[in-house]
Amino acid sequence: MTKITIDPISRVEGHGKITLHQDENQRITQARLHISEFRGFEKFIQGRPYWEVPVMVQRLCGICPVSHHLAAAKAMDRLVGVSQLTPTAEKMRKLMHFGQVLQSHALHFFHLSSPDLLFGYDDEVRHRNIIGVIEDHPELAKQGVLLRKYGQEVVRMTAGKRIHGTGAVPGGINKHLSITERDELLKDIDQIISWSQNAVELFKTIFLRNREYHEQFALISSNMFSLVQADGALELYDGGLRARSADNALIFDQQNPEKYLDLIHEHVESWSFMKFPFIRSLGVDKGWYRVGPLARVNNCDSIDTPLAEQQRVEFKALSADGIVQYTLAYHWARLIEVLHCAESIKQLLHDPDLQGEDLLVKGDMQAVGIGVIEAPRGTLFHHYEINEDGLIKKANLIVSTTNNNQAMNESIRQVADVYLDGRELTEPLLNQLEVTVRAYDPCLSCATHALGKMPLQVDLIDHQGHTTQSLSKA
Amino acid sequence: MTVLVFAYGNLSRGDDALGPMLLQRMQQHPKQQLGGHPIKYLTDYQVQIEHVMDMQGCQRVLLIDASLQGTEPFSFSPILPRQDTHYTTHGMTPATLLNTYTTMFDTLPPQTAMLAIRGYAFELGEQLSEQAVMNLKASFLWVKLLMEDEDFFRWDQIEKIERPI
Repeated sequence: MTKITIDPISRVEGHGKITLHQDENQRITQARLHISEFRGFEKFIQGRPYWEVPVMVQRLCGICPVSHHLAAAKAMDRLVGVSQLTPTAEKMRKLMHFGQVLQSHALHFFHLSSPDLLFGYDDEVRHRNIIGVIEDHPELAKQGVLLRKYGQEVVRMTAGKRIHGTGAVPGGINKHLSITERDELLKDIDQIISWSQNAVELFKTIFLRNREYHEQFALISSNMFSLVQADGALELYDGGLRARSADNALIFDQQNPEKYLDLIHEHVESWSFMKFPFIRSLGVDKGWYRVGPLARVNNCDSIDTPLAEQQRVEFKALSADGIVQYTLAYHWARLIEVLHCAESIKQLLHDPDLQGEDLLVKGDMQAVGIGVIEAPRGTLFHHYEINEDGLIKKANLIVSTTNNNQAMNESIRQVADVYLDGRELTEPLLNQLEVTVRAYDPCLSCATHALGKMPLQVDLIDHQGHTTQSLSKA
Repeated sequence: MTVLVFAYGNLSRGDDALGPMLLQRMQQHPKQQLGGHPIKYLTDYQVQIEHVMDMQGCQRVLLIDASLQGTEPFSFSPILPRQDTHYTTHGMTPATLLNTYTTMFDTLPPQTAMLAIRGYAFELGEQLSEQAVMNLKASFLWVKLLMEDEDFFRWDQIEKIERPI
């Protein structure tokens, strides 16, 4: 068997790596994305007082600390016996979350996937067309920075700090939004909505210009998994769990997130530290699923903000059977969510509950707390158990990237089948694989950020273990 | 005009804390200036696009990070704008940050240097390694000299050499 190993750019150990396994006839037999498991958090958390957890967990991951903050806070709510927050606390947390998702998604599109659209393909005609689109929008980079900055201001004003915020506490929130803060955010929100809407339209143009190519790229057929509201609408902060099959049938709906262990199970493969979650009722082979923007926008029945809902309807019309499986449509769905977040922020800012003084609810202590949230990359589970002294004795986290594990492997295999099978390795071909992984935007072991990067390297090893070709992407 | 001191890293991930810890020491130094200019401090987990906003209007920028493969105990070198492609949204290179600044503001960014402190272990929940503690002390001794200078002479001398010290 021939093995192609790809070491992507990374700054520390624990980075992603792709191995493509070929048989003697150079056919791809398996693709494996190696990402170190999100590890060490049990030791990090164990023995800590429960009330410290929402702050501590922000240090697990520098990429989406707010998601961990809120998922942990939701779990702590249950530990202190609270199932319903005050309106002020609930809305402040939602506002924080919308800010987080907005800034995360904006970074992804404007500064990550846009270059993919520019450089990710090896078809020269297509390449030129895409460049032409981008050249018509030279302000993109600037808008990306300002959208992200705006989302971070929302986070700062709701969490109290730009990083290491303390806003969400067990049973509620520790501050409201002042009138001054509200007015500061309101000042720019219409511009933010306008840029968000333009971004969806731009992506739509790019996607549809080469529709067949974009639809077929990394195309797989998967189940979809996410939270939804009680009426089936898109939900990022709270709600019931819904899973939809590849042929658009509901597998389960409105399930209590605290019963997630009844719904999903984690499979282990010998070659990976990262587990492979699957829907228990479908088994390992058929139960893997996708999470994140593509799953959420597919899974929901509606979006409760008007502009994003219009975009959702158009998005869903892409597929005759009502479920959009195109991997590159992750970007499209992501931008619909950006628009939804911007609209939701505006709605919330006009809600006087944000200036309320009733911030905390108290209840009777419990031994177990589970919090589930839709992080930017997908469903995030936090599960804690405490002892009689209120110290954490057990923690289990399933992060979005773990949920997408099998799906990413399947997408990579599909691309390898089409573009690498039997062909010489070239940099444009490597880009195809990067484009595939980037659509999911996996979290690479919540990496640290020390200087030093490893260039992208590809080794082609024949079935006898000899390296026959090496490529390095400096 | 201020000098931006931007240290990044995660305080809870072993030697990744080197940057923010050096910044904390700088904040305690009695002379709060670099090259005769007041200092504006910033910490974050990693470099991201929005940091161009923090650089705006600054005389110079000093970036401080832990280095997994760099020179012991530290290196100090200029950074120039350059566009890299990214693998994920997990941070960007300092050179790309400067390139983003150029795109954003249609002008060259402030003169920027990187102080890279050698680190060794980056596991969650770990303290600084023994060698990293030594490197932190060495880097602070160097930065103190910069803070006591009334101009950028020493900074510029190093940049002219253009090699790690």
